[in-house]
Amino acid sequence: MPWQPLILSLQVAGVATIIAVVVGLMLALWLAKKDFRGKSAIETILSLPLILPPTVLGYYLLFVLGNSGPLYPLGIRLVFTWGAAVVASTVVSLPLMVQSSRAAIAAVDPKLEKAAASLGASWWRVLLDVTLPLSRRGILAGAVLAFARSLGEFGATLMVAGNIPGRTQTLPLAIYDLVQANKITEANNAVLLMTAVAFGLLLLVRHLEKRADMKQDTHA
Amino acid sequence: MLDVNIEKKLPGFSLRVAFKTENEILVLFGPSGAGKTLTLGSIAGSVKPDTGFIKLDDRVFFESPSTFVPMHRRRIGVVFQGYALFPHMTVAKNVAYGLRYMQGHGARVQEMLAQLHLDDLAHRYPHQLSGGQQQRVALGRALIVKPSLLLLDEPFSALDKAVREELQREIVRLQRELQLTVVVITHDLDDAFALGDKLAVMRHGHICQFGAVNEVFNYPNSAAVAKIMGATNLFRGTVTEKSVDGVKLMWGNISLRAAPADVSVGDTVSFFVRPEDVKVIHPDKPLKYLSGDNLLDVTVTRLAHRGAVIAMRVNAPHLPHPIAVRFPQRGYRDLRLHEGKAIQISLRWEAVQILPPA
Repeated sequence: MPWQPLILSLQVAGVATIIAVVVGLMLALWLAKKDFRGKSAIETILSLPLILPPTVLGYYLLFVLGNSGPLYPLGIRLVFTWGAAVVASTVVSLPLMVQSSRAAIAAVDPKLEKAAASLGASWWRVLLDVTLPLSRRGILAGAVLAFARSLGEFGATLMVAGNIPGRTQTLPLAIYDLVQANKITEANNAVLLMTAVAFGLLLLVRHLEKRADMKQDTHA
Repeated sequence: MLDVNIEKKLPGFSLRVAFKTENEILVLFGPSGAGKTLTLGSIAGSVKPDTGFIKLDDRVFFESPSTFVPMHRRRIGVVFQGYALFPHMTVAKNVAYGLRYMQGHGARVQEMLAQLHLDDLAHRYPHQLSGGQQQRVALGRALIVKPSLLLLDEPFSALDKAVREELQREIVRLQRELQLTVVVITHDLDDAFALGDKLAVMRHGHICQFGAVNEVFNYPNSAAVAKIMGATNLFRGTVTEKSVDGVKLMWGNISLRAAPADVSVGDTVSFFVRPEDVKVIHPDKPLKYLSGDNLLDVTVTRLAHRGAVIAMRVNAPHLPHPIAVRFPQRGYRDLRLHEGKAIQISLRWEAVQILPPA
């Protein structure tokens, strides 16, 4: 069993999810609460990673993170490191986080937020007391989806982080190598493990979304 | 004293209202789209007017161009349409929300719960409550911070009659007891009568008439207000005669005697007769003929039983317009009314009211 790639996958997906949750929540709040010119353009750009081939994303990331990219002079050199895998995973999982939590935040009745404000709650207080608690299932579902997507990330990661065993080789990359090397038993184990984890995570998302629907119904 | 004088322009709609109210219940009344909610939102602070001012006692909530106090700093009690209770908090937590920074607020919450007969429900969640109980929680939550102004948006829209009447009395009691200024939105005439000290009839973004509820009901200042106040039989006629005891009108080919009004002979005027003021003449108990009785021979064209009340529409070839009639069922059962039956009705002259010209 390739434990080392599994541990690396969990680490990368974990960090990527934390970043996706923080950034994604801010974007979701912004998109759910504000109307502005160019909103659809922003929304479209945020959904692009869902559609674009991972190689295209990887290419963009190479450009941004690489030798001639804007971050290079700042001393940020992530290409072919663990950090690049995190960036790739974050980018592909962010749309899932934004979409799920944005829908949940938009579903909170604005009257509830006004009610809290009428009782002296500042914008921040309203967010903590009303908006986030009432949209927590959708936010959680988004986070789980983001984590699952990060775990399965392959193409963009290969482009920017490479496939260096022990350093940037995550489980999906290890499976590719195992199949190439005809190590079928180990490949089978790894494939079954990935499938089981993905199945479990999606089941959890279903459960969260179902509970969220039920809540909406009883409070309608 | 709540002193409001605001204007706000939206695409296709402009709001322009001014009124003052203090220590009484003011009902904003009118059809949907009249600007009631926008007015209430401006007072609450969820809507920012373009120009004007909103003042409560010595506090200025809004004054163009630069003063705008955000909603969470206004300390106004608001009961939202549909109550907007926090679904993830118990009754006690909902009521206590406005006091969350206060140490030892437990006693005050208990007191409020007791006052609104909610003690036994303190640990329930909103979805476990009936509509009337939810309404009480919303009231308690709004009043716990001891506001001097309470705003209510369609407070009874989802309640059945018995609960509605009980809560109407409750709100009147609370207003008197706590010396509150209350502004309430409704489009229901019963609510307006049960609650209102004052009535502001709104239409197309402005107040058409402002006054005591009975005054507005009995003396609407325009055809529009009469219509909003439930005067279904709204017609036009020409003044033919004027004397100290009344006015004579030509309505099509029919001469009607009407209540005194400030009009001149030859004027074309709007007038109305409330459906409840039309009397169905019982053939066994005929009125002795008086010119003021405005007797008309008509045919029943529509008949509907509405509980204890019969709503009827009558017409005749010589009438310029069909007339709506409402009367209590009791006492008319033996008339055996049915659609197509010929009857006699009377439009008593005091009830034929001429409206001031637009």
